[in-house]
Amino acid sequence: MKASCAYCEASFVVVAMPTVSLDNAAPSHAVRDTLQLDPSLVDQEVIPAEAAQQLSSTSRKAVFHGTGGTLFGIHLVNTLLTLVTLGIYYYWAKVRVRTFLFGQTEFAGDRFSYHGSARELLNGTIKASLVFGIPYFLMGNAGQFVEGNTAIQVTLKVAAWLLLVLFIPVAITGARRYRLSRTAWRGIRFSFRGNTLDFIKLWFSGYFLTAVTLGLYYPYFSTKKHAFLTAHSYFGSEPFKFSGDGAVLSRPFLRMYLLAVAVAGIAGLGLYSVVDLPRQNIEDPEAVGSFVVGAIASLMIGALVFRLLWLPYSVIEQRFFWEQTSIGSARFQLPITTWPYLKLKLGNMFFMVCTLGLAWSWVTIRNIRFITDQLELVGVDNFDEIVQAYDGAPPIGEGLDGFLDTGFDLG
Amino acid sequence: MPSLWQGSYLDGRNATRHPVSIQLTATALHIVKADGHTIRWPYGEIAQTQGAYEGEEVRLEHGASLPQTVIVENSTFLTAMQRATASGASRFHHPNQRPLRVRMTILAGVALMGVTAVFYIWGIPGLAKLLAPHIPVLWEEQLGVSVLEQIAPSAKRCADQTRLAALESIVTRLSRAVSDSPYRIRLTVVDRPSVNAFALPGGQVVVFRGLLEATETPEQFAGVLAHELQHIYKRHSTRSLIEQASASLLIAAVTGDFTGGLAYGIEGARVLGVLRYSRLHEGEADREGLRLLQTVGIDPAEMIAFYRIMEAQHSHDTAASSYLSTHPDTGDRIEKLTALAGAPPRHPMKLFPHEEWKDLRSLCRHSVASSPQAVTDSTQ
Repeated sequence: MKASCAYCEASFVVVAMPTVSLDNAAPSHAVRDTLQLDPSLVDQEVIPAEAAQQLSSTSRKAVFHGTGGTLFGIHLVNTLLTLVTLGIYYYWAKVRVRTFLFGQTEFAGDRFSYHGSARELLNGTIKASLVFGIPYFLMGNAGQFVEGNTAIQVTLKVAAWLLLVLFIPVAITGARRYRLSRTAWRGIRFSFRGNTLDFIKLWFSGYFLTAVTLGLYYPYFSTKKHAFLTAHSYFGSEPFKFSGDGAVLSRPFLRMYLLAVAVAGIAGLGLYSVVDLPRQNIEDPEAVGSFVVGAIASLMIGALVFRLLWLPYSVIEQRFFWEQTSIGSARFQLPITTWPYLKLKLGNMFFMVCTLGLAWSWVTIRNIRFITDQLELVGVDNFDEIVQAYDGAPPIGEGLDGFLDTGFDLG
Repeated sequence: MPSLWQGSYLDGRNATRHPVSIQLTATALHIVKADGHTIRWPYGEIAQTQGAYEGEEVRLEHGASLPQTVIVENSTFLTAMQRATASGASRFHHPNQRPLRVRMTILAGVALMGVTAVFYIWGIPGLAKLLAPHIPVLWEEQLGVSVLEQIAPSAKRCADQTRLAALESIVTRLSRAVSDSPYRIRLTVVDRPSVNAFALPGGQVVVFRGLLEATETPEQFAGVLAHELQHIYKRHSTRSLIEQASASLLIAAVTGDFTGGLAYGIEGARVLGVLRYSRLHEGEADREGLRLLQTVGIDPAEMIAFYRIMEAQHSHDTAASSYLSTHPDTGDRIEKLTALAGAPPRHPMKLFPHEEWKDLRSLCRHSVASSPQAVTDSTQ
């Protein structure tokens, strides 16, 4: 479809239109939404017309074949066996669900396959419990036995907290390493080869800068995280590449951020005028209480607005992350737009609330379909040339010495 | 049914999809590649990883960590494979078994409802009752103290030591009747108008001024204390924590994985469950509290009389609201306690004369704590 850029007036061809749209939205709406959300993102989609014609001819699409009813059936049996075995079957249940979901996902005419086992998941849980869970519990509760020694109590609490914070990046890389190594397409395994220590450094520095800048660094941090996880992932011998820069996301993020702050400020001022919160004498304990309540209410309103605006931002973020990801000479496209995504999320919440959570299976399928219906790999690439790089060794280390760079999954 | 099937072969070394012909014999699968090369897979060494669901292509794998794969799109291939082999066929999915699988799934759904109900009604309260005695009293005490600081700040505690000591003597009289308790009971009176009292883990009993002043006799107050003491002795707070965690786990198991916003959907189910357990605890505290009064020699009718005062204050509550409450309906509680109380004792104990009680219950009118130590201890 030919169009022109509203900002630079250059002609281009839209190559990433969804062929199946959940809400039958006209393609032109999708383009318009993109332009309204962030002009800088549209620049990412500008491809010369001739090149686009060539690329569209090699477009590969994802299809999801599973139904909510089938997943619900699997879930019923899984739940029964998990309850009867007092939770032990949980890991087998997890493998059954993953095997089903992977087997129902087709890309470029071939389905994915999952090769994980319940025993490996159980090992992962035991391993994480030994290295993180038990020390965290002990440090968190040992303070009670050194009553009176505040310094030791505080040290133990801080150490427990640090261990918990450390666990998150280790768990992210460990789970990714394990899951990719157990995922195959055309018999070729995926893998993750990132160094966990590097990710921990990235994680802590990112959190530090995000905190120091009162959250404004977040788009750069999230892009760096995603870049690390993507650029160290492989399909067989072929690496994925990520070319995104967090600066692209900073503009829509800043817009959302400022809007939330402004609404919180206006809400705070409004509260003062409506409920006549004290403007003076806030040294009076009762008045301080009201002042604090007013401030908390404003913050809560700001947080609510931020949460609502997060949905359109996450559309921009997901689309940006996919569109900056490539493998070989082919690049992914995910032309999702705000309104269908909003409808999906609100619909999911409605179903879950109305069924007290029993609609989980259908919600899961809806979420997967939303992505697979629109995900495309565009460009020339010959998958036939990709060779197996997985050596068959399990990614779970036998000892704990190499724990950081071994894959593990909690299920 | 064809004797030769068309499919694809993946060698596990590269991503090339090789078109192949597949021949089924009694003992093995023969895969004939385009160059004429034939690969033989004995049925006993093959794993079927896909093709169990309708519309799914059949995927067979051979080998350990990096298997070779054969994919056949035509699902009738499975039926043919079942016919071709007599032994080892059970390791492959049979399409004819799909209706049976649907029936088994429905049966599992029914069984799941039964198992969930059993866990919900008996399993979770039973588990909490079993585990709670094994939680160290020290942990409960520390939890109780930290919660007390939140809900009864020192500045709000009524600190008239003389009157407090008199109230404390009622606590002591009741707690002495329970000889095997590990708890040290502490009474705190808070200067707030609410007609409320509650027990915290580890032996803390908190009474609001509104409730103290609403009691007409010291025996009515003893009835309230007996109820709260039973919450402590029966470890209801600890059991509640275990019940809440177990209810969350049960609901998570039944509803599947959930994160973020979707968790709100199941929150309602969890809260309903927790409220039910809370009402069960209240019922138990009522029954055991009444027995405690009888043991000490106080007329249980006094406890019931105070519940009637409470009932009058909450006369606007609807019957339906009892399902959404932490406490059972007051009318029902009175009815059950009246049935349980039986005949009144011949010589009921009188704790304080009426005039003295009127003075004692005005404790908070005389002083509110100026120091943090506005609490008395009762050591058993």
